[in-house]
Amino acid sequence: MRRLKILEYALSSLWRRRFKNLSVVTVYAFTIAALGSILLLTHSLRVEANQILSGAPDLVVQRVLAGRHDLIPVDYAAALREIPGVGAVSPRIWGYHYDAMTGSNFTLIGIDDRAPYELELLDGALPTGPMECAVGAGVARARSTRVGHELTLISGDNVGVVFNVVGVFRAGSDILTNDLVVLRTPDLVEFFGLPEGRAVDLALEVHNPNEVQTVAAKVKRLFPDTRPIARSEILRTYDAVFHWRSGMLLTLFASALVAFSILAWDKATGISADERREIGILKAIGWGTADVLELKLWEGIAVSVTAFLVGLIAAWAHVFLFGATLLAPVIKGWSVIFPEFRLTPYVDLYQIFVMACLTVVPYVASTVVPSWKAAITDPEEVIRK
Amino acid sequence: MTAMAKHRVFLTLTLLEIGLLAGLLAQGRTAARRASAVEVPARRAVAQRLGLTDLALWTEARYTRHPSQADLFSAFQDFPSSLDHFPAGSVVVASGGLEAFQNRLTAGEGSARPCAD
Amino acid sequence: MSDASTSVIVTERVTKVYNRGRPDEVRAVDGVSLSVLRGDAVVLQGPSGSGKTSLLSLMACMSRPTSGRVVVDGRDVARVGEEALAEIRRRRFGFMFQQYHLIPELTVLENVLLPLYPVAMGWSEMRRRADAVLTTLDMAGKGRRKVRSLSGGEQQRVAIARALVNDPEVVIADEPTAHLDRALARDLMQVLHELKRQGRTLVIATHDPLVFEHPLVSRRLAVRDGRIEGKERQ
Repeated sequence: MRRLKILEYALSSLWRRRFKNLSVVTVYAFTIAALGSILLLTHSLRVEANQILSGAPDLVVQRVLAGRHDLIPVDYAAALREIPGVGAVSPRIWGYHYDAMTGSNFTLIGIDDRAPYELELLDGALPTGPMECAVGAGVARARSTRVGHELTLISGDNVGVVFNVVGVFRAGSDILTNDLVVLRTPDLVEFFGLPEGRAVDLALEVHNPNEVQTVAAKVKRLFPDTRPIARSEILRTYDAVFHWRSGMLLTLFASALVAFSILAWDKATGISADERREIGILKAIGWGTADVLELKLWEGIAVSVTAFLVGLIAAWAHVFLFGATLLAPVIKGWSVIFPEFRLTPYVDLYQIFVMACLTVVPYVASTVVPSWKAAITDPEEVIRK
Repeated sequence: MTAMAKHRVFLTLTLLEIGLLAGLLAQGRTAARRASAVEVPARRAVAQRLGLTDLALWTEARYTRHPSQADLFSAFQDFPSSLDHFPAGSVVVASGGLEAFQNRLTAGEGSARPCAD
Repeated sequence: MSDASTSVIVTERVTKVYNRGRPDEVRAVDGVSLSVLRGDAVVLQGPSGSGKTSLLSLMACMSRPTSGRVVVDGRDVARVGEEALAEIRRRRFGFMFQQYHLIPELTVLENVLLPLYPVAMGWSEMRRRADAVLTTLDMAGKGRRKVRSLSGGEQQRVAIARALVNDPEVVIADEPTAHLDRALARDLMQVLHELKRQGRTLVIATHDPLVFEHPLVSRRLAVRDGRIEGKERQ
């Protein structure tokens, strides 16, 4: 009962200075929403990347010339197939195409004739005949095309090449296919004007996942001008990209944390004369030190728990209901075609817990600690001042 | 003045907020499970069929579109002192793990075991 | 030698020094020994700066002596823990400050209820007590008004109500008539007289003749430069 009464007084106290306290709650909640959005977004993307890209090739072998990525002779495939543990070796043709009409970059990839020709996330089918293509939703939108219509791309010779759109990827696969134009490999080789006997890179199938490193080392020994990239490295790249401790996201996170520290510091540097006097009066009329400190504790808890919960709910809504629309421009950069975030709510509770500790605890401390001195001093001395 | 009104309001609101958050987390868990069962395999199938190695996020430059395939020089390859001028370049970090992997390969490390013939 | 069992407050050579060791060191109370008996109405009479307020604070356990002892209900307050001391302040004493020290943004009722928050008591019982004490002071209809909107005399009554809400045995008043006109001062003395009739012990510090000449007063002590001067006047 006593606890609830002191809580009641704490809330009255906060309400008395309601404009100031509501501003604090708002800024605090906003900070939590920003921090929370970053944590939720990056974690969700990281889990998704991990799950989806586990379908990437076991090993991709690139060729390096003068420190740059160069085309690789298809002949290398024969020698690579001889390495024990290696299954299929597939030359890959893919590249980029700048679409002047929309100012965007498309990724063009060539596929072979094997099945499957239809996919769950594809409306229509993959290209099987000449001059057919399947496009990502972003491309379809940018170029206002759809199944049954055409897509004209300007080749390197400044010639317009017309492809028939036989498939459009569904929005659910945007994160993988948004800017793709999928063609049959021969069509793509001709479009790019690639020389015969060359591929962009080779995709290797390795039977035993534990042998990938060994195989990669052998590839490097066999062809010192190559650069093998294992699937584990692909996954690790995205782990690093979406880690909240790296890149621009770290800057956002740090700024939000700094803003919050300023807030807490402002509180921690001392209580006002009014507050000190009030503590003196409370003690003089019979409140004990523990009662006063409990009052301050409740004031801190009321503000920080409310702000934390509201901020976290806002972050959730922002990321998982509204596709992180406020963060997207920051992350997007100059990308003209950028997928809408349709993220699955993967949540790392540990991160949430850490964020709670990093914000609620310091804030409550910054409310209680400055009152400590006044709370333990004899009331007469506090009032006298 | 209603007796002890403020603390009741506060505790009720807080409980509602906690309830809402718990509900969102629970719903999220269900959605995640559903995604893992249905959506993720479908997307993985796309990645597998098309041989994709990267997410289609940053389409502004090659090394931002395919960060896992880019080498360490891509960002600066226009000319030697060219700075990385794509905004997404500051979001996409050069994979430290990639560099370490490449160094290991160059140094001749791989598996300590002889290859099984 | 007073009988210890009827002494509510006893001070033995109690001294209070402020800013000890510094150039502005002040010896506000200097070796005062007195005892207040149950039912007494003691007046400490003296000019400003004579140490009356400091002595009252010591007696009401609001500050600790630099040396000497303060014994309340047979317990040496220096030996009592902080929480127990707060409880003594709460249960035993009702203090009326010279500046009232009300919280201006709170209402009359909220100010009066303040001493009851840390007490194990339900809300309705708290309301009942506050209403009762406000009624006896003719402030019953003003419970919802903010204190800063009240006149000096009304604020004085709120201060008294707050001091009485815990039903204290000892009421301590520091210059209670300082901000009142004569009419209000006489009203106040009636209230204090009634408290004495209820069997409470009063300790009043004042330099107002209206107070120290009042018939309710049972003992008069002159205070000067932190000491009790001369003999007591009865």
